Amino acid sequence: MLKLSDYRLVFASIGFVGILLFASPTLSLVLHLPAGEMFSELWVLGPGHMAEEYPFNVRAGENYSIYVGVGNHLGSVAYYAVYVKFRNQTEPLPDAFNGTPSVLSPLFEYRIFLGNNMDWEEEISFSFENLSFEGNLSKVSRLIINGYALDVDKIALWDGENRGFYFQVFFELWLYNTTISSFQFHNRFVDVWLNVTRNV
Amino acid sequence: MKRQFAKASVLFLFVFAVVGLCLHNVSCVKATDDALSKIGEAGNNLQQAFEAVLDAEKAGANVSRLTDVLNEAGRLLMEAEIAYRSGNLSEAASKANASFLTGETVKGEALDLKGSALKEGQKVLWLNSVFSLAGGITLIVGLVFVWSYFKRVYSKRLLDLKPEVVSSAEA
Repeated sequence: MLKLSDYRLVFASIGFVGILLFASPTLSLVLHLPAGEMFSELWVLGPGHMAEEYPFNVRAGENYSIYVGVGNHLGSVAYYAVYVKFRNQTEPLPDAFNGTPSVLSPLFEYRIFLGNNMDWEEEISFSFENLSFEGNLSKVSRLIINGYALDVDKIALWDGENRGFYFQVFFELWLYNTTISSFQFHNRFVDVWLNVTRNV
Repeated sequence: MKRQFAKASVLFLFVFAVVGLCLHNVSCVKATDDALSKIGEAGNNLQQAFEAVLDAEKAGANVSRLTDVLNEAGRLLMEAEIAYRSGNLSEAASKANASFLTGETVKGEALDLKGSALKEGQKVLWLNSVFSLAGGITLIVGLVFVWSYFKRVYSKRLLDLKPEVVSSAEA
């Protein structure tokens, strides 16, 4: 037979657990447990919605498409900007190590508002106009993105090692920071290499 | 006489052309400034609308519909910027204006949602507090009663126990 003091301990334990159970609805409103890992996603997919068959050898007058997507896992609604930029091999990319964006001006930008755990994906169709070749130079004068004609005027030198005139379309993810009331580079970017070729 | 009249006519036409050109340039600059300032205002308004939506969400409101409307405002602003870059100033100003108005609507709705979410939150907190307090008190009072009853039964059983005498010879 247990002693009375042992039974007292059992009663006290039942009381403590019971009080915690009754208090739990209120505690859940007042106490906020730490959320899981908070992050954002940025991706680029090929025309078949897969990470394959990205456009590579491109020429004037043909349409190409890719998909760009953003995922919000920051725990609250977020305001993103996706900057579409275009560069040749000598122009700078964003610096992932220092977290700085490319200094190039965006050709096109998306403003996206996403709830927590929500995704956004958009098809980006593009084509080239006024491609010219002269010796070891190739010039892209105009890029058409989603039907909007944009003057780019970029020149690429012939890359003898990889045998092509290379340009790169890349997408930078920026996040609106409410503390400073401004967008900040979110240190994420994805890109697609393009080899500009002559029309046969 | 005829010569003087011709000279005056040429001078008049020249002055008229210069004034016309100046006025045209002034109106072009004004249109550019107008479109640019409208785009800037729409951008700022979109940021304020987002902050209002964020506040509403923090207060516990469901803001999924508002984010859809914000995306529409963002798309209008993007189109305004593209129109501006391509020199279509009237379209740029009109799209920026539409974006601004959509942002204003979102701000108003977010404020209403925040108010009702705060009220609802207070109500839920009050109900839960009452439930927790009443449940806790009932549990404690019940346990005290059960404990005193249990103690009595325990003591009675303890007193009812017959002492067993064990002789030293048997041991």
